Amino acid sequence: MNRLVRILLCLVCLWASLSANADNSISADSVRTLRPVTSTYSVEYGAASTLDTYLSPLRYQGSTITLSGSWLKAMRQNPQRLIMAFDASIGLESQLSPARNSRLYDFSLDFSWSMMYRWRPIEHFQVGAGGGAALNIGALYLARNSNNPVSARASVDVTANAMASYSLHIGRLPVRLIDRVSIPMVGAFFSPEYGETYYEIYLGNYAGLAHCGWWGNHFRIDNLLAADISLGTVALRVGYHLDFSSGKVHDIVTRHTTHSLVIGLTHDSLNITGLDKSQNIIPAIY
Amino acid sequence: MKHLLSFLSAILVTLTFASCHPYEEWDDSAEGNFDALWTILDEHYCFFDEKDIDWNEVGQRYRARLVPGITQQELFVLCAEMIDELEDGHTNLISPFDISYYDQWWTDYPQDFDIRVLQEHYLGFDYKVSSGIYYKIMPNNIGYIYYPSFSSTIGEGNLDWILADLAVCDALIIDIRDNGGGQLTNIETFLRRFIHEPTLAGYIRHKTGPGHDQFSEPYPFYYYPAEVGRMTWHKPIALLINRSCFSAANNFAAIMKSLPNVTLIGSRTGGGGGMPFSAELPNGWGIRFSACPITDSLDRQIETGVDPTEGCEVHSLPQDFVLGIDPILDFALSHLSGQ
Repeated sequence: MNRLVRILLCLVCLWASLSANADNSISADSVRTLRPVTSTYSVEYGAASTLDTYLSPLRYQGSTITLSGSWLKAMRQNPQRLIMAFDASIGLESQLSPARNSRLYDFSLDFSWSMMYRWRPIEHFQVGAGGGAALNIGALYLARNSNNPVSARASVDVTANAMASYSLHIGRLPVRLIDRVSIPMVGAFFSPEYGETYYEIYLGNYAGLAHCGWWGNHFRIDNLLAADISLGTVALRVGYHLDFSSGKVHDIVTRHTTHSLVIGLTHDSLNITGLDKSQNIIPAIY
Repeated sequence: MKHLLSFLSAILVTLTFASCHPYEEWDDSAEGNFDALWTILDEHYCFFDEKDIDWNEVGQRYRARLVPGITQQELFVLCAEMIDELEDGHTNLISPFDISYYDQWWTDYPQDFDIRVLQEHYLGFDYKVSSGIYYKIMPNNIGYIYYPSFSSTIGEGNLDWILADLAVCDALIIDIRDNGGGQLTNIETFLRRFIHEPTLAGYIRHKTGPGHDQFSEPYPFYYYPAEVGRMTWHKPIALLINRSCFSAANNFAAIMKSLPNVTLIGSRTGGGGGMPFSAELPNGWGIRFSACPITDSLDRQIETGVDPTEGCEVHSLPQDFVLGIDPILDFALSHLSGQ
């Protein structure tokens, strides 16, 4: 009997909670809701290492530079709870073999879109979790090789995304700490077979090039930890970016790691005129 | 909270295991470099079965010669001797001080060609050159093309000019003697001028794993005639070959042999029917090796060469060149004049 009462109490609480949310929505609709875009433009520079056994059995090491942009916004459907993010980056790496007599170049383009549900368990602290889609294309180029100088990279993934942010003051300086993580869960990616030349692909043999990706054959984790230091209308972003991937398909093993220092500028922008107090501003990051 | 921590731990463990795709590593020692070389070839070289090579036995035999304190030069010689056991002109070990090269595919045979004799006694030092191709109209109204290397990229416009110049001829000699190969895309560009319908050029396969017998199904590949408006040639052709025709030149000979209007004259080509891949050792040395077998239009191996057309095997004697005679070219001129 006690159990039944508890279940009923839970259902009542749930109904009350939903009603409250509905009331909030109605109340939010009565004023104009504005959803600024939190834009960040960054330069990332750091260390990189690459292994791609299609090109070489050796692990190359060098430097990476990336230009990236990130745009976050509360979603129209439920701006208090839902946010979406679009990220794009272009990266270039130059790495040397262990004997330092051969150079490898890595060019990559990344695009991702994600949607997250967010909570504010305590004041100034926000966590979010959700999913999205990511596209990565790129190529490795190893000039010393004859018929296998290039390893192309292409993948489309469904990703799991999470973020956390905490706003604080250091002295009188507002600072926002933020961490964003993205992990591909499933997807599709390109890989030639073990000893297949791109010439054979050029001749028209497209069999076995596309693969279903999951953690077992195509793992990647992308983590950004940053501090946004307010400078007035804009904030200076200083952070650390880890990008790690590891894969194995057709007995070709790939591994790629970058550790980068992130320097950027971030700001909230609104596409409006005539802001007044009746307007409700809901940012993507509190 | 306890459940949450367990869940997060499980995710962390899963991620850790998922991210561990092991790969083989070797240290930069004599043993490490030797083992890296042996393993790379063991897992990627494509002609072990065709050549009946027991690579394990070869490895054991040469590894026994690794002695403490072996110098880089001594290690290079040892490794070079080991890969020479593959008897493959596409297999080279590349160091800062030397490049190993298995050359017995041509040094054990007569050369059957002398460029000076050709230029002086047959072309009279008077010929045109375009895109790396020498060409001229010879006596009896026979066109002549000498293409010394498929590394020279051919322009479509250059080919138009060459074939337009030779269009009045009754027959054509294409001389690829001493052509050591180059880019397969060049032979496609060139060959498209001599076919008038889609032509099965051969089959290509590749390794699908590290096992000696792990190969893909043979993939047939076709060449298509040059676009309408381009100069083409469909009259008789004599293709001159010798033992120094290797790699892409060997492929070219194999494809040309399948065309009804083409006669191969000279001596068996040097082979090289496997597209080479590259890899490297921890000490920075490069290794190149045959990785993808290409066969002819009947799916026959061409790794050991392509024979001339039956009844058209011709060799030169050393005194021929002293006298300014090129017996293979003479045979071709006579053969085409007779047609």
